[in-house]
Amino acid sequence: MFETEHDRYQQLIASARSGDLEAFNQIVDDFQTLIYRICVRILGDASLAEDAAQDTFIKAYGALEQYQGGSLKSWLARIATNRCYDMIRAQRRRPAASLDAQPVETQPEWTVEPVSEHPDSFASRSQLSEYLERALQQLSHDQRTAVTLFDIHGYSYDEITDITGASLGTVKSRISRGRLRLRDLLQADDRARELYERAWRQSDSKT
Amino acid sequence: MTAGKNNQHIPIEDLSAYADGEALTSEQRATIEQHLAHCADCREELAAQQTISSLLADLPEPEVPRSFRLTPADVNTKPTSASDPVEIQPWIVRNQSRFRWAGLAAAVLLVMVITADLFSTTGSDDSATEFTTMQESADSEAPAAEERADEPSIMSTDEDAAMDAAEESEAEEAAPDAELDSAAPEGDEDLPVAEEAPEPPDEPTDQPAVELAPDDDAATDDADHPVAGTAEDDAMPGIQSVDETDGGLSLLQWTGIGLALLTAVLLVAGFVLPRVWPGSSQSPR
Repeated sequence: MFETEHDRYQQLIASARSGDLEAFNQIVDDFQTLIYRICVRILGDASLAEDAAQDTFIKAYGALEQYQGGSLKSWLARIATNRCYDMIRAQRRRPAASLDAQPVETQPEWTVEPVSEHPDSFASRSQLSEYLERALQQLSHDQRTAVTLFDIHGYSYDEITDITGASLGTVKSRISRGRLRLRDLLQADDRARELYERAWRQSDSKT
Repeated sequence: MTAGKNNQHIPIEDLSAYADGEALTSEQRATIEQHLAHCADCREELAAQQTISSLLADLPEPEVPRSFRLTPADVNTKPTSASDPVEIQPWIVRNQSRFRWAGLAAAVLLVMVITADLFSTTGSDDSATEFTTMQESADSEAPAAEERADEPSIMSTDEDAAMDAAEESEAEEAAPDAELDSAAPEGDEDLPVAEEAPEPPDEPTDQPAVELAPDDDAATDDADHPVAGTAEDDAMPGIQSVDETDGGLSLLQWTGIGLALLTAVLLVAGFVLPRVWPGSSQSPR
């Protein structure tokens, strides 16, 4: 099945290279959700992520000649993560502007609405998700990228070395330390810690 | 406690790789399993890695807000993203700090040349040899200054354009000066140098008119007027003929004039032009 899908993309790319924009847009259709979500997690901001995702496809179209025929999913993710890094760097240069542009980060830290002490596991689970999302924004960009690509989007360690240009050892370290940091951040808040430990017991009893 | 390896905890990287089923040989996996059988700490760390991992996998993911399909317009125009205005700032603005530094360096060299010149002419006859060595050193400095001036320009044509523009705006020196006063936060720093700037262009043409030069006080009083120094030297008998003032300039003095011009151009390009350039936002650096 992968074979045929891979072949299909190779064909679409060949058409796109010869100027068939519609062929390229079929690739966009298939990957835009993935690319947009990667950008949201790395940038922590929906509107910046929208720009980054659009730029990714524009850049990819312009760089079709450089595509070597490997994994299209990794190739697009590499362009997207690079674009996100560029945007983060540009933001750092203009700290004043970034305040307006990043509503997610201007939200006060760790102030999730106390969704009443509902024993309902769905409610507490989604509350934990909110804590986790904020904690994710506090990781270093490298750790956040590695953890996002592996845990959220299912890229393999090898693919992540390919996407980020880091060594396998570095990728291993970023993933493990990123998760440790996330755990520590969750445990630093009483409510988050409680929710985390509940989830921990659940996953522990599963194994 | 039979094997030493059972006492050492497993590095966190290996634990997470183990949890993820990644990047480990089957031997490494076996070793880790052996260790985990005895070590509650490592089991706990492993569980933490797994818990966070599964929580991340369960995070709700946003839906795409719109389609990212490309239109023919996307493809034909270059992707100049609005989120990175640094790339589209005018060349003159991007390089303004280079101009400032180069201008400062040229000003320092100018002061050195003036000092050398004053010293060589006021000194006794013995200093004739000193004069030549200083001249040599001034000569060797001059190319250095030119190099520095060239450095910022990546596109030489634009540099020329900037030079021309700089010289033009020198003519109406009053306006940019006023602007410097109000706009530049480093006004104290700019002004003394900026005052120097208008002098040199006048220098070569106005030369014959400077007849008050023999008045020694003019030279000493006006320490910040480099031109007074050169004018005085021409009038000084001794080395060169007094009649032909223009022809009487020494190499050192020509160097000084050149440096003064260079300083003026660089300072204007560094301080004034970026503020008045069309499309330049006031943002520093």
